[in-house]
Amino acid sequence: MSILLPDSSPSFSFPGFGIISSMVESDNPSKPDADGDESQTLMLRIASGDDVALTLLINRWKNPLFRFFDRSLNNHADAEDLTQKVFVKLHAAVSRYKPKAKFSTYIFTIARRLLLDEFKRRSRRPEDLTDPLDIKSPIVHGNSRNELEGALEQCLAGIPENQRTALLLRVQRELSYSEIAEIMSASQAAVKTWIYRAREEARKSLSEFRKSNHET
Amino acid sequence: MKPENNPDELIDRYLRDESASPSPGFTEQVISCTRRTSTISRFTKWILPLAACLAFAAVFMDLLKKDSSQPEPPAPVADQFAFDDILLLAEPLDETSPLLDEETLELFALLSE
Repeated sequence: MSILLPDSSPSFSFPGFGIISSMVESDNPSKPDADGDESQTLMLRIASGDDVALTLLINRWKNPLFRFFDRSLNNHADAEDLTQKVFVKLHAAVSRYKPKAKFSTYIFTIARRLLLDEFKRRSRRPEDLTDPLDIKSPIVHGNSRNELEGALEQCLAGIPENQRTALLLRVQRELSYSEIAEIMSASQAAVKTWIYRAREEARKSLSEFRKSNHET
Repeated sequence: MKPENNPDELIDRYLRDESASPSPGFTEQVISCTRRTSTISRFTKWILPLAACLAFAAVFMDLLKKDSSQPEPPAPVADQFAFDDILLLAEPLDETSPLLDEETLELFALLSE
């Protein structure tokens, strides 16, 4: 799928996040970008002071962003906090926004930057200071579905961030390899490798879980 | 293979996390947060230049005041210190009569006559 660019310059800039070059070709256009096109229009409306457009934009993107953060951090409160931060950053940069690339690439680039900042913050914060209310409710034993989720949750938490993020963007948003590469500032080959490795790990965890479940 | 037995299907279903969503009232919360942030940023947009202008004005006024006021006395030089020291030394001799030699006494006597 070709993406029509408003001008010849194949990039857009976001303050504090550097230059993000746009995609001209998508290698796996499994999802139409109608959402993105509409979001670009909404961004322009927000820039002119339209509060309704802001509400529409939040309602359109809150669930995808929340799910991305929720699976990345495995913490509802932090996922919600980061989702909110994405919108605050978007709103702060709305006057400088130029719709030159896919909106999903733009918004998930911001999301990924915030995610990396969160990991840095967590590495500085001792574990014992974590609010117990922030931690998800424990997996209920005896329910095989929850146990399966628990196994996958552990697997996802154990794999490197780049592998997890690449897999999440691929599965949740059905983004193309080139789009994921843009978001993660990496090559397409690296993205393919990360996704392959992450999936392999998940398969391994699943088969181990099934084996242990079968034995018991 | 049934979808529930296909490992990739199970993994994808878990990753999609389709039942998860932010808490109710999230949108309103974000809107109020963006409003607050934009108010603060608008405030900081003019308060910093204003503070800089005020600081500059204060320094400028201070300089003007200094220029218009009396010139400061020149700093004492080394000779003046020496003269002050001599005066200080002379003070205790004010009460005492000076010791005069004979020639001077004769001269005073001639003059007085």
